[in-house]
Amino acid sequence: MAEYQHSHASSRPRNDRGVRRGFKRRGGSHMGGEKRSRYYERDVETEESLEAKLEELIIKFGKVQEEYNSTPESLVEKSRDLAKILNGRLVGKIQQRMHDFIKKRLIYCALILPERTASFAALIGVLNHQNYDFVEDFVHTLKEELEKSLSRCRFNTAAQIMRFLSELLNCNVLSTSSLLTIYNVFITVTYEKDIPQNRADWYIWAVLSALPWAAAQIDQDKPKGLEEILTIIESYISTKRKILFLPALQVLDRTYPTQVANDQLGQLWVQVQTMRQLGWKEHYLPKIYVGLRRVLSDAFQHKIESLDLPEHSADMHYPLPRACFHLFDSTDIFKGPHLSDPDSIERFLVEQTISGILQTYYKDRKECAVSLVGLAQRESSLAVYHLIGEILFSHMMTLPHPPYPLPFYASVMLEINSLKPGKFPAILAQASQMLFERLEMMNCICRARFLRWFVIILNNYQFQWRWEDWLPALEKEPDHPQRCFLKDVLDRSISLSYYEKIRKILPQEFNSTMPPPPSSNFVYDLLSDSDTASVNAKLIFSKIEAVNRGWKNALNKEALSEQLRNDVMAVSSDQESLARMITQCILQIGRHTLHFTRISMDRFFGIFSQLFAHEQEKVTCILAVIDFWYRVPQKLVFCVSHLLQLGIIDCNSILSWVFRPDTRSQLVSHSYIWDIINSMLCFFKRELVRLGRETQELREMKERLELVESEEGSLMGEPPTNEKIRQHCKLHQECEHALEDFFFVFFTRCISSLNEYIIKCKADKQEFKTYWFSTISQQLQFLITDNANYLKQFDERIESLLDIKDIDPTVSQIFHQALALINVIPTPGGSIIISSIKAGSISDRSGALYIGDQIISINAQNVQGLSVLDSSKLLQVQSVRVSLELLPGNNPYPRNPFFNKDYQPKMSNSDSISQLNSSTADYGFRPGALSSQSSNLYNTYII
Amino acid sequence: MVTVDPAEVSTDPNNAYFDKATLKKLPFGSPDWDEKVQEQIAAKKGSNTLYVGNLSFQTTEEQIFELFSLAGEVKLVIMGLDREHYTPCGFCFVEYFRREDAESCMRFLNGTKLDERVIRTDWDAGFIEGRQFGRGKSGGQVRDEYRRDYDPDRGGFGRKVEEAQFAMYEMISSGVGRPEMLPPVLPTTGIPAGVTEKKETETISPTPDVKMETN
Repeated sequence: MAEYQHSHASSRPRNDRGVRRGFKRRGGSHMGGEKRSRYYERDVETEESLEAKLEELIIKFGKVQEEYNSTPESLVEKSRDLAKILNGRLVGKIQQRMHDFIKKRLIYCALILPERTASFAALIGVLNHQNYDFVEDFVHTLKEELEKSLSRCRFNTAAQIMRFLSELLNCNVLSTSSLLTIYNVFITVTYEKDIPQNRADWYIWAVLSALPWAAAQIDQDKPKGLEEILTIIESYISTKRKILFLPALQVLDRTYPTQVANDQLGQLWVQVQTMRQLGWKEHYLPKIYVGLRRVLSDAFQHKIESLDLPEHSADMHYPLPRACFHLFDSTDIFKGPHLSDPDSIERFLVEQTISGILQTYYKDRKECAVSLVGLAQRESSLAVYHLIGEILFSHMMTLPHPPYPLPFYASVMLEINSLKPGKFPAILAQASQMLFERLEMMNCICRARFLRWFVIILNNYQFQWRWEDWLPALEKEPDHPQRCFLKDVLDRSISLSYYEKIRKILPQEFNSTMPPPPSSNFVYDLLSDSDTASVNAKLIFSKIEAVNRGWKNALNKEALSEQLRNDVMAVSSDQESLARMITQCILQIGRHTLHFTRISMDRFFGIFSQLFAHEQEKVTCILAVIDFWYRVPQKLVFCVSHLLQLGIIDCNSILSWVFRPDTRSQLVSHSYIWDIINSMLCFFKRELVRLGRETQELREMKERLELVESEEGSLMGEPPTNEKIRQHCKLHQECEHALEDFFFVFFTRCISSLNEYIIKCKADKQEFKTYWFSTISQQLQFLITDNANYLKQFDERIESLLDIKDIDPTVSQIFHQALALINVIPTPGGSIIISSIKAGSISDRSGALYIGDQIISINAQNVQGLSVLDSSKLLQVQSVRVSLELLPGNNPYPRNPFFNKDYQPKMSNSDSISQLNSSTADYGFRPGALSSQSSNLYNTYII
Repeated sequence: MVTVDPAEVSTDPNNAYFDKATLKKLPFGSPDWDEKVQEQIAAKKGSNTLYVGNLSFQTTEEQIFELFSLAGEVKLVIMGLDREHYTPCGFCFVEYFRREDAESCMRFLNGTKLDERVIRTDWDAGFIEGRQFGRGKSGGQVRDEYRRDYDPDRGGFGRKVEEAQFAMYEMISSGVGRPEMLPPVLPTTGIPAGVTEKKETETISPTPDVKMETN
C-alpha cells in the first residue's frame, strides 16, 4: 500500500513536467530561435529537475514513518541525511530561488500532512543546527502564514500551524516563551467584547489541541506560564461559555451509555485535564526529537515576539460547535487491540490524526483509504479501525451539515473495505446494526443521512444484508423510526435496482410487507366508464395526447396551444376538478421516463398556467401529482420541484399542502414531504445566486459597453437598458422576499401546530413527546441551524413570533436552542481584568497587582462598564497617588502578605462574586513614571 | 502535489473522454484539432454535465437518477440510445444544478457500482440534441463494435466479433469450415465481478441469438 502511494506521489510531478516541457519545445520552434530556446530549456530543465528531486525527497521523507513502525530510529538517520542534502543546496551558492523553494515546500508538507508533523519538525530541528538563518526565515514565514490563515478564515490550517509550532518547541527550534506568547495572544480573545461565542471557542480549541504536543516541555521550563493559561481557559469554559445549543446538535437525543453529553471543546477540556493529572504524559505521539537530542540541544532557539490576531468582522464565519458522538465503547470490541478511554488524551490525538488525513485526502478517496489503513497498521496496539469507523460516522452525522459531501463517507468506507476485506466490513456491519438499534433516539436528520449511506453500501454489495434480523421492526407502529427507516431503505433499494430483484433477495417473510411495485396511478382508470369525471378526464387526455403527437411537426404552435386550451376549458366549468384532471393527464402522457415527464410538463403546463392562478388550484395540482406518483416517491419529488421551477406552484401552496391536516399526520412516515421542502429551499437559494450573478453581469456589460461607445460609437451592440437591470434587481428582491416569507410562514405554522398538539395532549393526559413531535422539532431546529447565518438578521422577528399568548415553554426552547448556535457572548456590564504585567515595572515590583485581578475603581471612580481605553485615560491623570480598588482574581499564587492584611487567601470561582472580599490598595506613583509605564502596565481587556 | 483531485478536468487528450464528433475529420495533433480540444476543455471546466459510461443496457433512467441524486440535486438525465432501435445502449448524460455536486459525483460516485457494474463518469462539455445516439455502425456505442470480451449486460460480444463468429458458423454448418477456425474469444476479461458463474456458463454459447435477444 505504502509503495503504491509512494510511486503515485513521486511520479506525478515528473509527469506534469514532461507535458510542460513538450509544450515548450513546440512553442520554441514557432519563435524561430532554435538554438537559443534549446539553451534556455536546458538551463530551466536542470533547475526544474533538481527541484523535482528535492520535492520528491521531501514528500518521501515523512512516508518512512509508516514503513518502520517501532521507535523511529531510522527516521532520526533520515532526517539527518535530508537536512544535510537540503543544507547543501542552501549553502552552496546563495540562491534565493532555491531558498524560497525549499522553504515553501517544507511548509506545504508540514501543513498538508498532519500525520507527519513530528517528522517534519525533527527535520527542521536538524536543519536549525546546520543553518540558523534559514530556519529563522522559516519560523517567521510560518508565523506570517498563521496570521494569514486566521484572517482568511482557514481555521484548519491555522490549527495545524499551532500544532507544528508546538512540536518545534520540542525540537529546540522555538523558545518556550515564544510559544507561550502565541498561546496567550490566542487566549486574549476570551476578553473581547461583543464577539460570537464561536470565535472564542475556536481560539481556545486551537490552544488546547496544540497543548498535548508541547505541554510536558512547557511544564518543565515555565510551569507558571502554563498554569496561567489553564486558569484563564478554565474560567472561560466553566463560567462564560454556554452550551444551550447542545440538544440541537446531538445525534442521539437521550443519554445513552456511550453517548457523551458534551460538545467537542468541553470534551477536549476534560481530556486535557486528564492529561494534566497524569503529569502531561501521553503514549501516542511519535517522539523523534528524543533520538536527536544531542544534535538539537546544540542549536539556538528562535523567538516570536508578537502575533497579530485579526479582529472580528461580520463576514467571518467560525467553525460551528459540534456535539460529541461516540459509537463504540470498549465492550463492543471482543478481542484484539483496545479502545482507549474517551476521556484520555490519546483518544483525542488519534481522532485528530484521522480527521487530518480526511481533510488532506478527502478529494481522492483511494489515497485517503490507503493513508487510513497505513495509520491503522502503524498503530497496531490501538483499535484504529473502530475509530476510523466511528469518526467517519460522527463526521457524517454532524449537524447542521457534515464537513464533506455525504457520498464521500460511503465511498471511502468502500475503498477501505476493498483494502481490508477481512476487517472493516465487519465493523461497518456492527456499526449499522448498532445505529439501527438506536434509531429511536436518533435525530431524524441523522436518520436520513444514515439511510442514504446505507443504501450506497447496499448497492455496492448486491443488497446483501441480514434482513431477517430487522424483520421485527415491521411489526412496530407505523410512526416508529425503525419501521419508517426500513420502509425507506426498501423504497430506495427498489429505485436503485428493480422490484423483482429486491423481492428475490429479501427473505420470504418480507413478501407480505413489501411495498407495492412502483407504478403510476391514473386515478380515472379506476373509476367506472359511466362516471362523468372519468369520461371528461379521458376526453382531455385524448385531446392533449393528440396535440402532443403532432407537436414536433406543428408549424404554428401558438395556435395549436390556443385551440387546445379552449377545447379543454370547455369540458368542465369546475376549475378545481379541471386542474386535477389536467395535471393527471399531463403526467399520464409523460409517465414512461423522467425525461418524458419533464418534456410534457414543460410543454403543457405553460398552456394551462392561467388555470393555476389561485392557491386552491395550486394545492389541487400538488395533490394530483401525489395521487399519481404516491408509489414512487422519487418521481413525486421530481415532479413537485419541477412544478415549482415552472412557476405553476409557489412556496405558499407547498406550505398549505404540508400543513393540511392529513399531510401533517404523515410527516413522520412519509419522508418525501421533507425532501420536497428541502428541494424547494435549494431552488430558492440557487435562484438567488443566479439572479445576483446575472444582475452583476448586466451591470458590468453596461459599463463596459458605455465606455467603448463613448470612444468608438455603438459598434458593440446595444448596452442593456436600465429598465432591464431594474427588472433583474426586482426579481432578485422578490426571490429574497419569497425565501424570507417561506421561513416565517413555516415557523409560524410550526409553532402553532406544535403548541396545539401539546395543549391537546395535555388535555388528554398523554405524553406529548411522541415521534411526531420530535420529528417536527428536529426538522425545525435543523432548518434554523442550517441557515443560522442567514437567519441571524431576523433575530428579533423570530423572538416576536414566540411572543404569543400561552405558548408552551418547550416550543420556545426549540427555537432558543437552535439560535444559541450563533450566539454572541453576553457582556454583563464589562469589567476590567489585568491580563499581563510587564516584568520589572513599578506595579510588578510593588507586588500589589496580579494577573486575573479585576479593577473596580481608579481614584475612586468606578470603571465598571467602561472601555479599556477610557479607563486607561483615568490612569494618566497627573497625580502623586493612584488608588485602585481591586477584586482579586482566582490565581493560585500566594499573595504578598505585606499588601494583603485583610485578604484571606481562598480559591474560588469568579462566578461566585459574593464570596470574594475586595481589598483596597493605596500606593504612590511618581507622576512621570506613570504615563510612560501605564500603557504597558495595564494591558487590560474587557470581558 | 501530494493529492490528486479526480474532479479536475483532464487536459490529456489521450486519456479523457471527448466528444469525438467535433474532432472527427481533423487530423490528430493539427492546430485545428488542438483548438477544438482546447475549446472542449474550457467548456468542461464550466460545465455541470457528466458523461456516464459502462452502464448495463438494462439500467433504467430511474436507477441512474436515484444513484446520482445521492450526490446532489439532478437537473436532467439523458439516456444514450441505440440509433437504430431506440433502446438504451450503455451510456448517459447527467446534468446537475450545481457544479459542486457534479464534482463530488466525480470524486465519490465514479468507479462505484450500479446494477453490479462499475460505472465510469467523466466531464462533458454540455449536452446537445443528437448526442444521445450511439455512433457505432450498428447503432450502439463504438466501443461495443470492437469489444472482444463477452459481456452479457452489454449485448454479449462485440458486434464485429459476433459477425465474424456468425460467418464462421454459417461455414461450419454448411460443411466448409472446421470448429477450430472460430476466432479466439476470451470471455474472462470483461466480465464484471458481480456476474455469477452460473450466468456465464448459461449464455456463453456464441450464437447469433444473443444479438437478437438484446435488440
